[in-house]
Amino acid sequence: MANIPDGLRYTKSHEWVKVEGNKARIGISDYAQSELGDVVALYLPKVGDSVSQGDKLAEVDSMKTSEVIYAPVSGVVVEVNSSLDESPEIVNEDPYGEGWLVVIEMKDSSELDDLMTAQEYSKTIEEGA
Amino acid sequence: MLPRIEAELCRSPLHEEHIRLGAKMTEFAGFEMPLQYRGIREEHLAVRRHCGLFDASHMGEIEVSGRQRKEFVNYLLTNDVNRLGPGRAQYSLMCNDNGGVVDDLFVMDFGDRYILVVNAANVAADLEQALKAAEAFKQMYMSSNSNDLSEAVDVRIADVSDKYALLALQGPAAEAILSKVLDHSVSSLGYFGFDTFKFREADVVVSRTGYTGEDGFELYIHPRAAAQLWRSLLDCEANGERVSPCGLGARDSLRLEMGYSLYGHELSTEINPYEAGLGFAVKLDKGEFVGKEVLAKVKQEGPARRIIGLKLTDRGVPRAGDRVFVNGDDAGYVTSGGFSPVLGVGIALALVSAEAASMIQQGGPVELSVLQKERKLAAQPAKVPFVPSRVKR
Repeated sequence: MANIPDGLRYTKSHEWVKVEGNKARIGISDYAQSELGDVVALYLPKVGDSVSQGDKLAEVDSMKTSEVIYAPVSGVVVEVNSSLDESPEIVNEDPYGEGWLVVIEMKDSSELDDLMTAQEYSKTIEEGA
Repeated sequence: MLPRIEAELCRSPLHEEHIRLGAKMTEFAGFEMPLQYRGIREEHLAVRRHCGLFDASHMGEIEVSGRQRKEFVNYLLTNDVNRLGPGRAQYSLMCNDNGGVVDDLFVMDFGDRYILVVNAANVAADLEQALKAAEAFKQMYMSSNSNDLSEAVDVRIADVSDKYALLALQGPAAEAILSKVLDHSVSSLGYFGFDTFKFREADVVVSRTGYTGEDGFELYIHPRAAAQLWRSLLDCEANGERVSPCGLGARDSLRLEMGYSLYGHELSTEINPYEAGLGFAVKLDKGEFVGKEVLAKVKQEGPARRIIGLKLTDRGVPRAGDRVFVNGDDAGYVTSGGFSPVLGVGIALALVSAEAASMIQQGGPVELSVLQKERKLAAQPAKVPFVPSRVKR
């Protein structure tokens, strides 16, 4: 049973967003890390990179597959989780905590309205994401 | 992300065990099989460190019997069964007339019959090839024995896959664990040797073989008795640790670290044994066999392509199909790629031109990279096996 905390927003492509003022902390959901399996490598953007909502934000390699991670909101990357270089498995172990990927300073916080609540996201998983 | 499982898939006799253990299931060769239980990396490392247990019941078994079974098996396959005796097995290849590989398999000599252990996806193709070869063999045999008309050719081929479940117990603790569970030491079994033991009321054929590069055993048992054996092995503790159930994900990552071929990747009807580095399993000095003429020519002229090993120096995971560049030129493609939990880097087997393989083998500086989507990942040549083999020779 995947863990889907309240208080976060979610995308159809299984990213989560934690709103911190005008910033958005972003990671992948428990469902996503479980589907991926053991994460072995991440390609994260650089601080200062600009992204638009829906753009490719990062890539992740697991033992069995690789997946693209999409930007839930537009803005500028202001923080990148560099501890994932040495320990990519943190994404599996703590996807909502230490496994965060990037922090984006949002260009337009109304984009958050496009995202799902925990309940809505939970429903999409049940229906077979 | 995972494909939906359809109801028409075949199930292993151990299916319920996998469900009870919470396995993530996947489709493979028309079977519903466990991909992983606790996680591919954890299962992989458990095998290298202690002991893992795999369900390989989807594999096929073909029985060859009859008076001319030895001559026929030697005609059908590339290796030489004259080197076997009862209780010994060998790795062998079934080729077609063009020297392409139809399957790679184990041959087990039971004295009065041979059992060919074949890949699940190829059972039908193997049987078709065997029947075709049997016809040619009969023609050949009869025309060379035309004086003795009473000697009809006696070769019988049967698909006995339904008679066997197959469990693979692999890891440094495998001998101790199996000896405990069978209540009989298996220490005298040599590498590629096999014998029949008893597990409760059931016969279990135990061969000292595997697909991981660790010491280990493959256990052939009647499907009805399989679940009991599976559970007894998982329950057995040695050095304070139990046996880890392992799925197809770990099975693949373990064999990749050893550089073992996987049919459909390093082997296919478009790839010949010499390209795959399996010349040791082709005995050109025995009599006539399917593909001999073409293979003799390939051996003499040298194969046009060769499988090489490579390790990434950039972060990433090579995948089957990625193009491989040697000194800036497209030299071939990745046949199998993945991440080595032991080495902590991406590794791959790649089929490249003979020229590129020679350049690499000469040992001078060479620029090697793998093209993945738009990204070129730097790599270096690697000797195979990528990690040391610990089979009990």
